Amino acid sequence: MSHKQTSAAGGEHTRRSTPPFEARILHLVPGVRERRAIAEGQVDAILDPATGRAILLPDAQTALLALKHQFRSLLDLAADGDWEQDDQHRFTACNGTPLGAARCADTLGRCWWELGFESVDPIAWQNLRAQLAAHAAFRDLELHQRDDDGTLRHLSVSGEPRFGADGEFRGYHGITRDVTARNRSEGHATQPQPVERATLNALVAPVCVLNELGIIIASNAAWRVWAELPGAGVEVGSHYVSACRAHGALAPFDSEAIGAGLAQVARGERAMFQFEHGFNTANGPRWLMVSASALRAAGVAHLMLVHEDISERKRRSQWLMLESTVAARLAHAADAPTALHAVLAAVCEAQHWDCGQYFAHDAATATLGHVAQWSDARAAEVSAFLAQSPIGRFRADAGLAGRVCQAAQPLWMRDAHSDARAASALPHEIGLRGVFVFPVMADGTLCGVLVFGSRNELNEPDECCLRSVSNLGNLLGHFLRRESELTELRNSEQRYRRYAALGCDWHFETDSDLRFITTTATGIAGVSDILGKRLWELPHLRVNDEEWTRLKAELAAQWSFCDFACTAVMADGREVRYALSGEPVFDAAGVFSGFLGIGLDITPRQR
Amino acid sequence: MSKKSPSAKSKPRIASETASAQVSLCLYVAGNAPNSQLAVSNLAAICEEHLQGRFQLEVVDVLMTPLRALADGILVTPSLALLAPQPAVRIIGNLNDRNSVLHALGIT
Repeated sequence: MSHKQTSAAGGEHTRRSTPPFEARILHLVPGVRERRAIAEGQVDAILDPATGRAILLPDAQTALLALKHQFRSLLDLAADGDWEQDDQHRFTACNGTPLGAARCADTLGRCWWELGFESVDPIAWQNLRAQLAAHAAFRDLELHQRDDDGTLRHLSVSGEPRFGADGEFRGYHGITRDVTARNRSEGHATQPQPVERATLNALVAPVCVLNELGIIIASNAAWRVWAELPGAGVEVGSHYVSACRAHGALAPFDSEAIGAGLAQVARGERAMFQFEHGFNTANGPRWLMVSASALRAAGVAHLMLVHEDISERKRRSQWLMLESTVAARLAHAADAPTALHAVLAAVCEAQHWDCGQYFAHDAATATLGHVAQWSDARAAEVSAFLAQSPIGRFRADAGLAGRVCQAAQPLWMRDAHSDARAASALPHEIGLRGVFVFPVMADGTLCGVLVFGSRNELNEPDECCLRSVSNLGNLLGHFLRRESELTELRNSEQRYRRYAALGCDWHFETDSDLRFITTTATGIAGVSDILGKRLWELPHLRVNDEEWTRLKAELAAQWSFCDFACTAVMADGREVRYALSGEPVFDAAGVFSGFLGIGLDITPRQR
Repeated sequence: MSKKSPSAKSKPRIASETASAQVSLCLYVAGNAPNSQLAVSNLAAICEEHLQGRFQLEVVDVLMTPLRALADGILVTPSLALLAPQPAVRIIGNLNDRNSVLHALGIT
């Protein structure tokens, strides 16, 4: 292999120029006569005043040149190029195979990491930097570069530090070997046999095999389909991690994590490595499960890599999680407004939507009324718009919400800017693009409509999404229906209590042990004096023993009692006559739970 | 080719001086290097033929005593220094050109 000597300072050396060795000698001998004698070959040695040593000529020169020639021959046999760097790791010489450039001259003055190599394993870079910082030798670092014709070339470089006589670090020198052919032949040698290949191709998931350097040496049909996808570009012959990163398939952090995991499997430190990797596509986010396991063929460690598309499973899981979150928030909500706000926030946060509103449906007036809204604080324009928007009612067939109200089916727009349905239904000035509207139902009856907006385009909802929004609508609908019924019940109870208060002076409840647990309105005495006690334990009640005995028997038998007359002595000594009535209360299982009763002040009547 | 020292040029030696006086020479060599061996044999022939016992010769091996040579102002070997009679002369090379050497030493 021919070499062309190039140096940073002087360019290519020619025969006309003075070789460095002679130049150094002549530098020591300033005299013309001495120089002439040297030139005529009559000098054996010169004396170096600086070191006080004799330097033999020309045997030394001949031997040195012979040694140099021998070294060069051996270097030619062992390597395809050699290089030198200064103490700043910048190339000062490059012979033979260029590094990271079309010509050796383009390499000069640059560092390793400035040469634009392709497919460098991040871990390998880190190791190289550490070795250079420690002035340690490095061996067989594999680098990849593309020729002008686009061919991927594999280079293996080794280097060792150089030190001066005083021990000072002077830089590195090393050799370059072109291992493209070797890697290809290894790749061919490790190509699967026909049956194995057929088996590999039969696998549905994209599968590839990496050699010990992390280079893809085989793949199945599914992998090749995946590799041809825009942005994938991870083909046979590429360094897997670096190619993924170069084509944007992996974020930097992910590529480092995956590279480290693959290295662990290759070293046998773990049986399998799995990594969930998410990335964005034009059709929305997708997820890959990268699984790597070790293969050992002919004593050489290989890795089998499987890419499993888990996007659908992941989306389903996210929707289920959202349903669970909404159910939990509804369970903990004290009232409907709180619940609506929590649900709107949960859906927006999970789907990265900017705002949400709920409109309640009033079947009697055929209108939709604004009830609640939520907006992401980061979307200032949206929040401001919602805050200033009039809150009122509108016809149940108007706008996007009206359409959903009429059809009782979800409606979505990928980009409202280009959708005629949103021509007058959306405030375009705040930048909302994606819109998702779906009904809130309870037992087949429309309760209201949820409207969500996003400043980003909306992804086309899949079956899983539609099923989940239906579940969310039903969850919220049932909650609102129950809340409505509870409110009605509370109102009814309130009305009953008001009626009861009109018909008696006080009423009470006891537990199953006949102890007072509640008492309202004006009572026999202070509430604190009554609660926790039985009727006959109240000290200011005067009843004869016979009456007490009769009452206790009725209570013990869990019978109703009516107009039980007693006299209460008030704190001011005044005597008040009461007529007490009560009836037993049983729970749904028929178990006695106490008495419910009233008391009437009959003092005036008795007088 | 050997040359005369500047001092020899500035003051030409009279041939009869060296021809009759005791000659003191110092030859600086580098071990058994080819030119050094040649210089030794060439100088031996000159001394035997032209000086015949009227010379004193010291051979300094710069590989053994380089500092001595440096102290004498010698930078390359082989070098022949004529120390006496004055003026001093220094001849560089393997002394193959006998006429030049004899001329520089003032023998012819």
